[in-house]
Amino acid sequence: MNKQEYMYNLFEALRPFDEDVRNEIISDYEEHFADGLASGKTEEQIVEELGPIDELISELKDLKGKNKKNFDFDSMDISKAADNLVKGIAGLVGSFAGTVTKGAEKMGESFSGGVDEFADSFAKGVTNAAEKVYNKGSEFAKDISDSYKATRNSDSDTMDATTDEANGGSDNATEIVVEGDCANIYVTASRDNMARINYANHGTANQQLAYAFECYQKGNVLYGIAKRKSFGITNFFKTLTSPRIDLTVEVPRDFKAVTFKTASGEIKITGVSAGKAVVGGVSGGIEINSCGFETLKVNNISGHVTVDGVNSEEVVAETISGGINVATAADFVRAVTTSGRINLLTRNASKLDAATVSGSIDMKLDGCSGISANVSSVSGRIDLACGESVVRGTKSGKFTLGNGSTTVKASTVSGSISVEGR
Amino acid sequence: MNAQFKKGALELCVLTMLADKDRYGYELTDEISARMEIATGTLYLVLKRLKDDNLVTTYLQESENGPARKYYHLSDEGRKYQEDLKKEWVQFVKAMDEIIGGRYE
Repeated sequence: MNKQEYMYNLFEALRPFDEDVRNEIISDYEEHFADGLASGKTEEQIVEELGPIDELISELKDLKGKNKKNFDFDSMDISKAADNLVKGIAGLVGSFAGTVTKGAEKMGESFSGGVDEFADSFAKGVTNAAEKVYNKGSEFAKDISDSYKATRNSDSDTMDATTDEANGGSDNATEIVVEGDCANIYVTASRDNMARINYANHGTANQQLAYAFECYQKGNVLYGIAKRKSFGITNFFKTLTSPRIDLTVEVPRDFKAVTFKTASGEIKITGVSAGKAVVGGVSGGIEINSCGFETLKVNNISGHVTVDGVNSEEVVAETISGGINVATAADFVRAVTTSGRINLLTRNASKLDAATVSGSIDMKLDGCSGISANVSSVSGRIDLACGESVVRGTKSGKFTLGNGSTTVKASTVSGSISVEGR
Repeated sequence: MNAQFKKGALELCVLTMLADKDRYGYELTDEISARMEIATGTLYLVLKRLKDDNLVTTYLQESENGPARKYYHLSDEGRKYQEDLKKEWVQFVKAMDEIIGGRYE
């Protein structure tokens, strides 16, 4: 088993436990992998040494007593899942920072401000939502409009003997939601007015049986959901490792809203234009290239976020473990990670907000005539420049350069900060 | 390994290694797993329990390998606990030695 599979299985197994417990264990394991790999071990060796997840879970239960929550599958709303992830990250950043120095504590407060309510993770939201969809499959079927065009190939007549494939599409949807329990999602622009979703499960026969793909339209929204089947209490298929599933999506121009989420796998979006875009991952990188949106919100947990050449009024990129690279002409950009570098390249931005705990922050602001900066680093160097105004090697604080027209907030615990207006 | 036995033993291993200096997770788990057959993952639970009981504290520090490392520091309470646990352990091992070595009446 490789790291991604192991971490995904761990994530799944930790679901019944409290948010803070889950996050702490995930981050301990991430760190363990980083150190193990750096010392020359392979992912498989490290997985072997870490030992069976079942063992960890049974000890964790002993440790926590009856900490298990009862799931109410109906209580989770799909649309809330993404918001909750943001809160989860903000809460986690806060709790991390709380353990560091005083400077970090200050930062933690500013990160976690306004996050009081319990923040549940994205993956749980997705699966719960998907579970709901699965359980209510027949109910949904009645609601589906005449334009329902999904087709499902049965296992016996698949075109490819080794891949389980299914397709769905719509020519009158204006919004799309694609979610995978464990899938890579690849999104490109559609050449005609058809929205298409292709599901390909490259796993073994059993793995193919263990996953289901549902594609349906409800109102203006086309849904494509790939998820693990639920088999009640026995849940035999839970023990299987995850197969490779690819969801290939084509989106027509100017959809009102697009949502792409996966728990384990990468997401790549290229050349898409839409109103509101929401992209979420748990384990795996997220890359968005040459797109145009009104707003873009990206959440990841373990993996980098790259947003390159994106026109959007607003770009929000958040992850827990991984770097963030954003090149955009957005008016407002927010980038938050706990462990990783942040690089921002913007044009005509009016407000930038970047925060990390461990990592440097580098901002290059094109078309910028002045900066109002609020910057803080506990252990790194801070350099600010805008035209003739230059502040080098300074300590944390507030600074005004030029006409102060662009508001910049940047904070890190360990790492340098460089902000350059030009 | 028996669960209760393992719990005490691993706790003492970790606390003792932390008595010298602050260490990060991988350093502790790698050292211990090199000497005994355990799932290193469960060591993180030992560390978590010690932290929850305020026997160790943690802080983050940047590392050259990527993500920040969580360092574990033995608290005063933890130091005292380690000394007590060590005494108990030594007595226990001595008693076991005598019995399995046939030195009983």
